[in-house]
Amino acid sequence: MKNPGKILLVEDDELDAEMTLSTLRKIPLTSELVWLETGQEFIDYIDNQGSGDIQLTLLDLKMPMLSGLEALEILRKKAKQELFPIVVLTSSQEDHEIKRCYELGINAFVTKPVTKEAFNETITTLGLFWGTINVVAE
Amino acid sequence: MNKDFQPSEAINSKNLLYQRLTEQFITDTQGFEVSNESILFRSLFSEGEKMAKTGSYILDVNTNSLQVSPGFVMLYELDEKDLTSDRLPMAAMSKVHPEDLHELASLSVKELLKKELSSSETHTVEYRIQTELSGVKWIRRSSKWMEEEEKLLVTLMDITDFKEAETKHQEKQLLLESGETTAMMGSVIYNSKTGHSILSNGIYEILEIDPDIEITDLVELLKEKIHPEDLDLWRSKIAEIPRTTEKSTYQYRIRKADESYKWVRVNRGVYLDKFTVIATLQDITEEVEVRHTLQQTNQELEQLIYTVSHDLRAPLRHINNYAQILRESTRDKLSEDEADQLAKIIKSTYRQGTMIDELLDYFRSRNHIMAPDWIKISDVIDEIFDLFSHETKERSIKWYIDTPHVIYADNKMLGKVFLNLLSNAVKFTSKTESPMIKVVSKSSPREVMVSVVDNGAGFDSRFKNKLFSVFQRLHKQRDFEGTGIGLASVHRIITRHGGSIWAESELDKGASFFFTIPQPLTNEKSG
Repeated sequence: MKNPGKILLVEDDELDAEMTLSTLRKIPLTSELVWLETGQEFIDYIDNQGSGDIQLTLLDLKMPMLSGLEALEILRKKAKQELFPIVVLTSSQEDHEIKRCYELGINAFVTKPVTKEAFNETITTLGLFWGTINVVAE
Repeated sequence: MNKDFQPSEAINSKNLLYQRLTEQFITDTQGFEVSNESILFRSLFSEGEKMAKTGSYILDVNTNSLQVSPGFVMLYELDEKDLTSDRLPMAAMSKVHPEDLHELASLSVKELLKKELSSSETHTVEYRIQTELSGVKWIRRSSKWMEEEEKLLVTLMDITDFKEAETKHQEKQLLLESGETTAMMGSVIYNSKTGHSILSNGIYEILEIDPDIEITDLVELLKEKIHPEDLDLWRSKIAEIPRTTEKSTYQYRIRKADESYKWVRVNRGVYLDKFTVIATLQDITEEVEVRHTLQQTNQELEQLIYTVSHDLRAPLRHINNYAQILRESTRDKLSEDEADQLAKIIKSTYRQGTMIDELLDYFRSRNHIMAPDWIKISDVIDEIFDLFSHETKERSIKWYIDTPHVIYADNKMLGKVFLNLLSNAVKFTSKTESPMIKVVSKSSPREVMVSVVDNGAGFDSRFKNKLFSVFQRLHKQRDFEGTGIGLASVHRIITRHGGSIWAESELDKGASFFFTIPQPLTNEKSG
């Protein structure tokens, strides 16, 4: 039996998180959904649980204490080049941030849509792609 | 540079020669009886030559014979072998620096041919000679044609020191002038008693006056050029010169040639005596323009923010309004989830409203013109206390307020500081069992320090550097709400007062915020 992989949501805004998680739950995925609220929690999770079974990480940039970008920088510095898919999902559209994220090796940069329809569509697409294609090895 | 390194043999032989020549000069009888007086005069003359570093000679144009003083020989550092009538002229000429030879030679030729020379004139020429022992020397040669005797009298003087000083002076002069031009500045030494002034070139440039024209009355000139609205200020500044030794900086406009005005800043500085003062004038038109543009930009920015936030609030109001109406009309008809969703809508509108307000407030306070005064800290706290009393209604917070001091600060801005720090303390102790907030002030001669200490949730010290940044928060919205602008505003206000603010904390133990504001010495106030 295949190990159910994990989809990480790193997002501090409660309502945004709820919207994202509820949309993801509607997709036929076997993945476990994990919600982390700050960059620090994200780092700690990787340190403690490892990243071998992460199918996708949705990463917000603007978070209290440790931001998404700062977390990415720290992950980069850590010796283990653990490759796991990271899609930045943020309201931010600043060029220098987009550039820096790609330099740090993310897979995609997605701006959070404002309307319900667009938001749902984006999350569903992301979830379907990474959750089913990116299957965890046995 | 060569002076120290000549073989002592050369120096010795030259010295011996000079000594002998001097003795000869002093005692030379030429067959006549020499009186003691004559010897005395010759000795004096000889000593004089040595001290003043001069030398002379007389040329008989008809016989071509040359009579030279010992000083001349020493000046040119001639050797014994050069001292014959036929060799001497060439020996001397050969020491002249090639670049200076032409001028000297053409004068010499004129003298030899007695051309264009009149008795009443002394001709002067300056040139360099190259000597064995002393290197390059600057010589000033003054010559006079004596008509009756048909002889040419020439006196030479070593002006090397003078030339060096002159070069240094010229360099300094150049430095000063180019400095003034670059800085668009001029300097003046003004005597308010006599009205006399010494002006640098820079002044002429600023006033757009031909530097060849001598300005005899600076005050009269300025009176005519200064903008009518600035005349009173300028007059009072001039009038106060004899009555004070304080430095002063002020500005006025000066009319330009094209009838427009330029801004000039005056820095009145050092006093040379009770009436005489040194001042600089600087063209600051560019600076004023930049400042003006900046002010304009700030105003436009504020206007923009005001408009945008105003427009942003409208739909927000609608959402909030209708959501609340909806909640009222559907009361008891909604499921738990549905009611929860509606509540979240309403809560979000409040949050956005607060963000817009705080953002607007932050930008407005940037432009607030500070009006500091002596105020009682306790009064400021009392004023703002009521503003968050609704949050503390159902809670029993232990307040310790010990702020007996008076502080020199802007009342409104200080109010914002306390409002922010205190409402933060109230907020972060909302989950604490026995909340306590302590506000203490401390006064020292130079500054007042205030501390706001609470025993609430505190913050993670690792992220201390983000504490005062705009939109940076150290807590999750779920735990404690907030926009992340409050402390940034406080930081800005304290900085504008010239003070500092910092904080310490231990998670779940509490947080302490400290700020200092420098105070003017009370002596200055009591006058």
